[in-house]
Amino acid sequence: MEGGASSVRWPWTGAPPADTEVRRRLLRLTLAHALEAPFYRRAWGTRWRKGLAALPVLTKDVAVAYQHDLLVGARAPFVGVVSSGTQHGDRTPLHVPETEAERAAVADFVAARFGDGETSGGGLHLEVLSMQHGFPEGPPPPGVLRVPWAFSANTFHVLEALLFQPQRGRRRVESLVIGAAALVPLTAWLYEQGRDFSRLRVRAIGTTGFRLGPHWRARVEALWGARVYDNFSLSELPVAAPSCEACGFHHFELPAVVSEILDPFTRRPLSRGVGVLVVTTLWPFVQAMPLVRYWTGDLVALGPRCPQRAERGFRFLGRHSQCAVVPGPDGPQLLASPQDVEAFLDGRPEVSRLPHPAVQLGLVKSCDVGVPRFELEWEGARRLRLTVRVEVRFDPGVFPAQAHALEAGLTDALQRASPGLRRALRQGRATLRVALARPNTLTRPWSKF
Amino acid sequence: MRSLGEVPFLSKQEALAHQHALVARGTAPFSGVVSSGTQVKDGVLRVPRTAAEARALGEWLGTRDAAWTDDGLVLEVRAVHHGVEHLAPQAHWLRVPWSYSRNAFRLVESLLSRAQPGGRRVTRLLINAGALMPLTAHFLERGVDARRFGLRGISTTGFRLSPHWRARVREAWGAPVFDNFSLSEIPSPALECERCAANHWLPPPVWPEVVDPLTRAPVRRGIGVLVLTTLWPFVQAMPLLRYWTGDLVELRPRCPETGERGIRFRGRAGQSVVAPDGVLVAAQDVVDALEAEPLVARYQHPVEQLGLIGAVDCGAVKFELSGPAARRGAGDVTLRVELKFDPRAYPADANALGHRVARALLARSPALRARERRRAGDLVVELVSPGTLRRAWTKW
Repeated sequence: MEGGASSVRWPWTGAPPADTEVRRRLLRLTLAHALEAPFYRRAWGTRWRKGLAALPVLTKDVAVAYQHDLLVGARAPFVGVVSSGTQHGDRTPLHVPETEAERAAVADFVAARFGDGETSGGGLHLEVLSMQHGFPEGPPPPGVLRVPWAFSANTFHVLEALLFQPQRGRRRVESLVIGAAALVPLTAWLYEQGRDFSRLRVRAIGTTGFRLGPHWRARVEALWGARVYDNFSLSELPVAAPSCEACGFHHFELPAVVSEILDPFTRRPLSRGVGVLVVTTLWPFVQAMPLVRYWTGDLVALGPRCPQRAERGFRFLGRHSQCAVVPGPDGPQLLASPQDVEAFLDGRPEVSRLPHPAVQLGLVKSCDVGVPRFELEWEGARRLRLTVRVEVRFDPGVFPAQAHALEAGLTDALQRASPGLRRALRQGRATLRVALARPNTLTRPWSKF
Repeated sequence: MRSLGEVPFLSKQEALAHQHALVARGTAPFSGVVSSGTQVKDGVLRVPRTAAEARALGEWLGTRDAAWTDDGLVLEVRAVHHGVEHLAPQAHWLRVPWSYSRNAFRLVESLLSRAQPGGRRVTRLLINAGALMPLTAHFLERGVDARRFGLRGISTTGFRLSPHWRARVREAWGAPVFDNFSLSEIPSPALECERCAANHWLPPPVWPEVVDPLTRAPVRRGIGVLVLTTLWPFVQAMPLLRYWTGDLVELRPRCPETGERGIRFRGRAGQSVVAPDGVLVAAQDVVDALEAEPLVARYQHPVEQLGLIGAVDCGAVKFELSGPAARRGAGDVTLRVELKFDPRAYPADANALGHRVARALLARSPALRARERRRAGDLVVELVSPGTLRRAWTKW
């Protein structure tokens, strides 16, 4: 079942049906295709006939260990992009190849559904791509500018020129997709250079990578005069999941992925609440390395049925391994996540920040473009003892009133963010301690840039 | 205009100022890659690359690819701050980005240490010098024996490796090193020739000229500024005609194998001392002399600054070079070098180092030797304490 550059035989005729139907039809073909990979043949036996839910999940460790056996066919070794989705700790990265046939399938589907070509004279779209996950191969679609994000002065100058100057045909950049870890230092660099943001024409900014905190989000929106949309993306996946204007949750932008939410303790599918996102990449959008029931390790909340997309979206809550989540009678209960802690600390100038590489390299002066410096820990089973340590820019012993106010504010914010935590505290099943630390005492980074 | 020689030179400043007017009619607005080779102070030259150019290059490369007889793979570690490539790599080619992250080190190590699907291994590495040095240091400090990767060759891009680093790399990796000359504005590099050790342009061809940095007359021997003209159809969107690269190159004797005269990069013209009697000190010669000295101070390499490696000697050596005004005759050339120790506390060691550097520079420069003989000026090496020099002269 090899899809060529223009040889995809879609399981429908004419325009694609609705996303749910597209996924249903492609899933059957995907499972048959995946069986060509030695790993799935060995691991599944005949269980694939019973459908997706009968198959084992594929964890990142297993995917890394057997990555050559996850490849379909006698493919050339990583022709095209070498992506590295799994990069926590010191383990070997997962190399996810992308092929010409996959890109052609995406283009073919997009053309069938939306029509091809660009509207002449319209605004330009600028993609700023983090290179840590690999290169995009091939030219971008018409009307799209694509530049790499590198920690160099040059990157800032290129972006400044593209954003502020009309391009050929007097066209201006009107939308931008950029990693949150690049958007913040870029914003700071532009105001440090005295650039007048009102001369920008950008009206929409989509972020990738980690989620922008509410403070910086508001700051960016105010300065740029643009709306910020949070995109959920993983480098292993062929498409991102932008946040939806109708329901506020994320939907994958093409039906190239089947997503499930599983209970992290029982691994059973959930129809509501909080669980781990598990994804299956669909043929023909993914052909070289199909990921079937891939355990992303990301904790998400399942949204309501979206009135616009007629499906349920999800919201990213944090890495499962970094979240205090416990089993409960109604499913997993999220007590606290780094995301909630950061959401509060992001708006507080008294909190220390991890130095952003752009600051360390002297490219940007602002000391506030890094993520807040804190540690979230928990221990105990029957009675969970949660501790949040936050590094501040002053000595809490010298300024106890300010320290106490910050502790109280964070305690209150975490309870407001999590009904599960509120309940657990009320019922005595958990305790929460917020402790402030002096400058340069917390050394464990929790986020990468 | 009857010949290329009548076409005016295109300086980087002019190219930058008129960059939209340099783009051929009908080119989509920076469709594809945005390359930024020219980092002059006031902006960045964005050189668009188009699908038509990629096709032309692909067709040409296809013929080369068919001739590829090596049973191994090439791993290209590509610096991304100059833009990304439009053309998908060939079948024997892996391409990974070089970013300042732990992941970049892990990714390269994992691709080098294991056979790829199909059983083939990476046997050749193409990497910019600014990445090769810290990568080598990273393996050395972690006790990883890079010789076990079994590479048959390492080719560099970007700035030139000094003889010291070249020897260190060759020893650490157990592989021959080929120093390639490349500019991000130009689609093809000049590869180091095994036979004559000079660099020859790899087709798709560009039209190279070497001209006198002051009179701009063509140079038949010795050192001059490299001027390049990009050729259709490999470059269509932004043709660069008589593009003044600002790089000093030495014109080498005719190569017995290719029959061409190769070039050797000798440094940026703006960072060298040039006089009517010739190039007195070429910046690359200074780098070559200083990088062999462990007690010369270095600017921190970004990966050192970010704490990704423990090494301290991957950065650019700290020096400032100045001389008499370019068109003036006599005058001293002064080289200020920052040390890792106080030269007033250890004057004998400082003097010995200064003499070594001066000898090395005199040996490389006939113009400087002649000038000293005529008593028209001396080379003064001034050694300064840590933290004195702050003007960074290189990028990564």
